[in-house]
Amino acid sequence: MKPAGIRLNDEQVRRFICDGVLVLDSGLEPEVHRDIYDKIQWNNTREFNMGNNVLPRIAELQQVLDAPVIHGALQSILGDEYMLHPHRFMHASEPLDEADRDLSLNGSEHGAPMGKGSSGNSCWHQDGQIPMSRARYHVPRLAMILYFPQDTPAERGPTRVIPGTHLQPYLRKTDFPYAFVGDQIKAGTCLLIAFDIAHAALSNLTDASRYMVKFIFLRTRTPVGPSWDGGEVEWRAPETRLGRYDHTETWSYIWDWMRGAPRFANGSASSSKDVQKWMGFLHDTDQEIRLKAIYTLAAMGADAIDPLKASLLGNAGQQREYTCPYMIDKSGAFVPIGDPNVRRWNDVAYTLQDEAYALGAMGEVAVEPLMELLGHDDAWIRINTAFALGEIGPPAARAMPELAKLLDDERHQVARATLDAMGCIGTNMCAALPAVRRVLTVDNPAWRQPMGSSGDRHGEMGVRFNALYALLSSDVPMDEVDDILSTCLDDGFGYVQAMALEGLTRPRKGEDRAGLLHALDYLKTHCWDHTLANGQRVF
Amino acid sequence: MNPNGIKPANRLTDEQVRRFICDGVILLDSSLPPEFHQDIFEKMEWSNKQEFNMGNNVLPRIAELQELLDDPVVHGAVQSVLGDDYMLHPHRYMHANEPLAEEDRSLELTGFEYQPPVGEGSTANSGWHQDGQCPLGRFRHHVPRIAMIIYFPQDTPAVRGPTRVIPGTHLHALLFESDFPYGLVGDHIKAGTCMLTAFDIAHGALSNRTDSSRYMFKFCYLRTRNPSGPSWDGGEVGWQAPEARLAQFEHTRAWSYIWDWMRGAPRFASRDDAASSDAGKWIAKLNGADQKARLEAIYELAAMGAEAIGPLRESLLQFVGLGREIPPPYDPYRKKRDRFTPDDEERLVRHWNDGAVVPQDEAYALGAMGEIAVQPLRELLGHDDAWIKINAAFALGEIGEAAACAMPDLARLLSHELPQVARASLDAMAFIGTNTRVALPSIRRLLTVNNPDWQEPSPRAGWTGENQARFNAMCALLNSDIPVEELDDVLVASLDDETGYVHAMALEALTERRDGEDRAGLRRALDYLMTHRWDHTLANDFRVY
Repeated sequence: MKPAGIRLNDEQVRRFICDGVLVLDSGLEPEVHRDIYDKIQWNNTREFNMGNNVLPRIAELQQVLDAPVIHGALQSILGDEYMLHPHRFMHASEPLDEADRDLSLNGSEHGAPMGKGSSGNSCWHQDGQIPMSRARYHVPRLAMILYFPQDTPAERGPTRVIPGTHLQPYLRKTDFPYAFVGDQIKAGTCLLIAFDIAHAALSNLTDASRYMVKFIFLRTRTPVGPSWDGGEVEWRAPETRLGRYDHTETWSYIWDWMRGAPRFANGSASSSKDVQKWMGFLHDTDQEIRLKAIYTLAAMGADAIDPLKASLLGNAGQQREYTCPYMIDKSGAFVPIGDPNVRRWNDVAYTLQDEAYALGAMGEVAVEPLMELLGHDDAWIRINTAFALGEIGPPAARAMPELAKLLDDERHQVARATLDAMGCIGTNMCAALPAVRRVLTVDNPAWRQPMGSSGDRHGEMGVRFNALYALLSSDVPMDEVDDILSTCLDDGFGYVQAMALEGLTRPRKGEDRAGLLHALDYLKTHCWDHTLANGQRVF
Repeated sequence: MNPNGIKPANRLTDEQVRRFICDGVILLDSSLPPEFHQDIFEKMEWSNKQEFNMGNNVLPRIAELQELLDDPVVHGAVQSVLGDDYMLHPHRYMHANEPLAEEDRSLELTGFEYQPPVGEGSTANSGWHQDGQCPLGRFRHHVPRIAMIIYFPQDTPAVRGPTRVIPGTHLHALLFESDFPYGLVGDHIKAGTCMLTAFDIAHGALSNRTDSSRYMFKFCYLRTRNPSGPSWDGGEVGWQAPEARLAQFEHTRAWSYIWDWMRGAPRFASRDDAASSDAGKWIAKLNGADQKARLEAIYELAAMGAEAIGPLRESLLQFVGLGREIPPPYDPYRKKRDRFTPDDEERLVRHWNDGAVVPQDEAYALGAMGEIAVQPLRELLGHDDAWIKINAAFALGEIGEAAACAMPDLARLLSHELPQVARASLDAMAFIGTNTRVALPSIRRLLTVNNPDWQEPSPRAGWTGENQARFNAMCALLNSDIPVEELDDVLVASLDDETGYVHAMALEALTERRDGEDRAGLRRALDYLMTHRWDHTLANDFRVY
């Protein structure tokens, strides 16, 4: 029911691939933004920050999401059938005390001071998945819209980003000087950003509150062709970009993936046969060489499979399936304890072994070798293998029955990674349907232990969220899963209910009555998640 | 068509319906387990203490409440009184009655007091009152077009301050101090108890002398179809009094009329005595302080038929030129003063009221008379005086389907300079319920084009006359015989209206089950979404109801 989107052009998509950020003007009238600003201010100062419920509370925000520029940009990056993620958040950056406002900032600060009552985080960070961790992907499976309802010059503290960091497994201090601080952010501006990009709030040196509303979007279909205006030609660098690194091999891979072209259509990376040399650069702390190694090895194909498998297996038996411990540093940031470059499960968002990224990018040739690893004793190996099969996408459809077996895994982490892989494969889902049905309808006590780091959350919540993501991204006709989806409306967790509603309300044959579709749009915008409560958990 | 039809329902018996007619209240024990009510209590306590009272949004905030509304006992009782196709009104409210300060708890109360003290932070009103319509006034009907469910999630003995009611007052035009001693204070209200009450019954909270909060949830319901037969288990025989009733008042004429109306029988089918022929004698009792006498007169004159029309018309016309279509200046302190003394003539004056409107008794009588009064009323609809138009419209609505020929006349009044006239006309259309198509262009215009004359906000609730006119217009459409498919465009446009109540009504129609749309998953999703619909036009400290 949205108006037709205004699609991005090649230059914009190229910049998004390189930088992970585009600045968009939503194109709505200034009064819309003024009205939204006033309503957020009322809500935040007289009621409370309603977290995920910001959309029903200030339903006018739907106009921003439906604006042709915004909708078209999301279609361009995530495909025509993208969906809105149930997590949303309004970040307030309140003015610093008057006495503190003569601060001089260059924009690269980690933990710049924030005014009292702020809910924005000014420490540089890559977002975790809400409510439970999922993988950090290189191809665009998620993206975010950051909407500013007020003029936000640098002194009012716009959200800063570090272009290009969306492909990194972690951040280093040396990244911070490459911060991008928009200085032309007018009311109604949106940043379209890659989910994994480094970002942070900045001090508000003015006398008015700064609000930013974050919305997350999910891709539900693997590209079969470009969903923007263009994509006909091979990769080339944008005319301008902001990022520090040159990741040509990676960019070119992502470009081809997004336009539904054969893998490595450019063919440029496959000239070298020096497998061992490139194996040595996996997990390198230099991001440029590390990413070049991943995509160079992927382009080599069969020759690189055994070395990659052997290298991956070197991580077995090290209990990497357990999350890393965290501490809070003196700036208030959560930082992992131990070497940040060691890959392991992480309850915020997890980065896989570089071998898994390479095998996933390689395509069909890696399917059989990966399937052999699905039964491995080590859970971290199973997780990496499932991820790589998911990245291969539809050609990995024959792995679906094997993946389904992992839905009985004693570790919910394995089931969660497996379900996401199923969603990314998206075809032959009927082979896994009985198992998916079971995880959605039968409680698994082993997965329901409260997770110390996350309050009242437990692993099964993540399992069920991902299971619904898998169904919504799959080739299973929604008619066949109506009963499961209906049952999920009684789940104790609002995200599961939201995902089920998405499936239940998708238009189907014979149900395209305009009034019904309009009512459904309205109701979804105004749907209040009653499982969230102030002081307890509003997100 | 209506999803109500597929929910299990325990219908009321004849005895229960008779009591409801006489008393305006019956007690119901919902069949849900104690843990359910405990859970609701705890969630309510959390929301009220850590967030804020979310008014109308209490249902999405505590969506478990839908289970109570779907409980077969509750659902069946509402169907019995309002018909199978009743709908939930968008107004809901949680009334908190907080404990008195510890030193005040030894208070002795009879339960009949006007405005006994309530604890700090309470949102319940302990002064005896008949509710106003939310947000702005509509008519007080004698037949059940609106009812309320009042739900207690905790054990509420008299010391915890249950809602008190005065049985029988739902048919009264106003309250007197002499009514108060007939208040009913339930002393055995267990968690999960619901009161089904007539909308217009007198009620009030009572002091909470315990150490824990008392919560009460109020839900309003609307009838959308005139009865064509009984919607409870029974209704086969003529009126007879219930074996037991609580009300002091004897309003047999009115009760038997209501009984026949509810069971879809011909008017006055239960009457076996001949109506009096002395119209003048009865006319003198209309609009007076004596509620028994006025109700008896209304239904006696109605039963008289043709012979009473002339005198009723003459009597009604004595109110011409008095400006009664305009509400008196709003005085929020008025209710605090002595307003219940029977000798205060000013209180007896009927006029437009943005809380709820009591029309002239002549209009009740003409409305109850039926088809024979239609033509005279159509003439009165064309009278210059707006209060006469308003009363004529009310009476035509009460006549129901038989007044279908008045629809074009009513449609013309939708562009009247006073929104009160349009509101009364729209409600009449809603209660006639047939031949609405001839009024559709006017209704459509009213819903989509702003009327500059109707933009004055009411001091009562901040709504303009136009806001309420649109709510009433949605009632007229929802109650009508127009296939809802033909209304989709105007319903969709109404989703952009400035008031959430109009959105709620439009959604009700847009989501109604239609042919070929009976997929179970879709119905389930729609039910879920309707329960969880947050009204974003309401805000704390501003207006949450």
